[in-house]
Amino acid sequence: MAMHELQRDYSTKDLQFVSINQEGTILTTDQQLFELKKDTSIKDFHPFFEGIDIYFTEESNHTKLECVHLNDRIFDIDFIKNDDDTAVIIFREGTDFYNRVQLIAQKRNESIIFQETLELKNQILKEKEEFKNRFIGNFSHELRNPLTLVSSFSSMLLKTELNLDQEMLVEAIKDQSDKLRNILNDIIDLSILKNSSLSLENNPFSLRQLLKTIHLNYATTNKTRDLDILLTVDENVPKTIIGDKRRFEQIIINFVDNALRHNKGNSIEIKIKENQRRANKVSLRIEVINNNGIIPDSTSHEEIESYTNIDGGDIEKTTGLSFSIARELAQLMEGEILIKPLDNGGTIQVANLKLAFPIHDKEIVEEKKEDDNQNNTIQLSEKVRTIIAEDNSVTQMTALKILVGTGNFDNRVFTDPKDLLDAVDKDDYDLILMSSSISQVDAVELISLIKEFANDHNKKIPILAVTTKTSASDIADYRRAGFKDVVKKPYTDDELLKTIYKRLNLKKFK
Amino acid sequence: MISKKIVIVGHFGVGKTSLIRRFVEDVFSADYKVTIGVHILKKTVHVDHKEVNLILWDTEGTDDIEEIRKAYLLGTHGFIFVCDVTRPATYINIESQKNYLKDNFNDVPIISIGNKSDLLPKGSISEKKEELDFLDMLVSAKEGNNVARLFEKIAKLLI
Repeated sequence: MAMHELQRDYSTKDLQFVSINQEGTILTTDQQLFELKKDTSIKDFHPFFEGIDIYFTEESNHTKLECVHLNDRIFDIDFIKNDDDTAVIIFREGTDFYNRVQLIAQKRNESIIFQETLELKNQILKEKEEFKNRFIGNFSHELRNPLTLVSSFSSMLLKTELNLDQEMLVEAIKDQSDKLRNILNDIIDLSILKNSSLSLENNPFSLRQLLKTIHLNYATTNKTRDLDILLTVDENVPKTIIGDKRRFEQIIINFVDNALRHNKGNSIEIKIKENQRRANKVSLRIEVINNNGIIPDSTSHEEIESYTNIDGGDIEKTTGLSFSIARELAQLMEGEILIKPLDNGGTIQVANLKLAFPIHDKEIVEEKKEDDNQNNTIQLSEKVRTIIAEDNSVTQMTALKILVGTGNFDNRVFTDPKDLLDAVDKDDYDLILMSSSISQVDAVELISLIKEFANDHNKKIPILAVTTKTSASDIADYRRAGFKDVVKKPYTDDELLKTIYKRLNLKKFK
Repeated sequence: MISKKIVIVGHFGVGKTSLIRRFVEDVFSADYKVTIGVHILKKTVHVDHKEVNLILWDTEGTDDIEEIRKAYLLGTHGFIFVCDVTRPATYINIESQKNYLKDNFNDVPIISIGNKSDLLPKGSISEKKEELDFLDMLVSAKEGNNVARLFEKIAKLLI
């Protein structure tokens, strides 16, 4: 196509027309956009043209290149090949237009990159958090075995004849190991809560009875401190609640413990009110008020994080740990926790919790807790043939000592699943205590093997899981697999014996 | 003198322009300026006693290589595929992107590189290298690490 024809078609001041031969020599040009000299090589004008030969060899006669930057200006370039081995290059100035496009692209890209970086940072934080929780979880599980031994042995020692000095020392050991046990449970609870793997139980319980028990416990233990602990429950509050009694209690206990720790006055009030109810759900307001003493508000995320580091082993500082748990639990109960200072120098702690209640609301009678001391009085005439399936030597020794100490058990310890399966096939037993895994075989797998390979007698005996895995879903898994009960590590001698006696048909051995 | 057209491709914000500026002008600016269209720069390198003109096409960043204007890629002798080692989104689809280039450009050499190696935490480079072993090189336009080596490498592949 002749250049003058093209110029006619494109007639505008923002265009420049240049014709070249195959070597890139400029044959004709106007100077509309920039200065070019006839008979010079266009390849010297800008590196862009160094590869211009390729457009002569292209199948298409017309190659369009948009948005090409040439010496601080931006052009759309058309390369039109002629039949006589020449070509016309048309430059169209687009600097203003493309600069506007650039501004839009700049904003868009910056925002996408910012978003990507944010997501990445978030992911790294999440991974760190998961690692931390896993670490805390594993670390705490490792601590359970030695702690079980310290806790139960000191409890056993206290039941023996000791002189006054010895008794004081052992009591101190027991007291501190119990505290440590609670902290450990808190840490594990928190790591479970942070991993969102905790599911709440949904069982009916008597709210007033629970509150009375809590009140009684605190009132009795604080009698000597000249401190009144008052409990008020509004009349319209449902008698029975359907929910997780232990977790509900945990929140209230945490509040009262906080109040006791910081209280400088002479009374602490526990108040339960109803906010509202809808269908079978009630929103309860739990208030714990200490009339003198400021409780620091550790609800901010930062403080809770710092609390999860047990500062230099200072047990007192772990108030925040239980508080974090209470906060997480409240969230699980579709509620929230608040701490507010009062004008009189005291503090009010509030939990608003959403709980279910039965349509026919009436007081339910709960089973009375058996006295732990009963364990000591049980004397069996026939020994309970017991298998302890456990490969951790500390835990083996703990269980053995506790059982032997009663004189009621005849024990055999197995550390190899094969030997265990052999034994339950050949000999008759009355009870199996099984750790969560033995030589890397999981207890749930092992119980199914026992149910398959044990002799007929042993297929019917109670098998108890003795484990650190004690979330509601873990316990449900154990129950489903056929375990009669679950003993939570770390345990005391009384806890272990109580569960065993509960699950044995004691009449058979008396 | 031999001239070779090298097209630099990759996601936006990975540092294609910075890489070329470091190589051609030996400068670096931390300010991010989005490239639209294409910038063409030139630098002569000496490889195996030969002078090679590298004509470097700095293209606009795209999520998908197929979005690049086809006309830019005509007559390409080599590609440099640039990723940002700190942004997985920029290298997650690298294999399919490379395959597209191989299929459509007669198997011209492609060097894939991870830029911004200076942002990797100290001590984690060897670990990260293993994780990014699908890349041919880690470079830093900011600190200049491996930049000259990269262009020498591609020049050698092309002569």
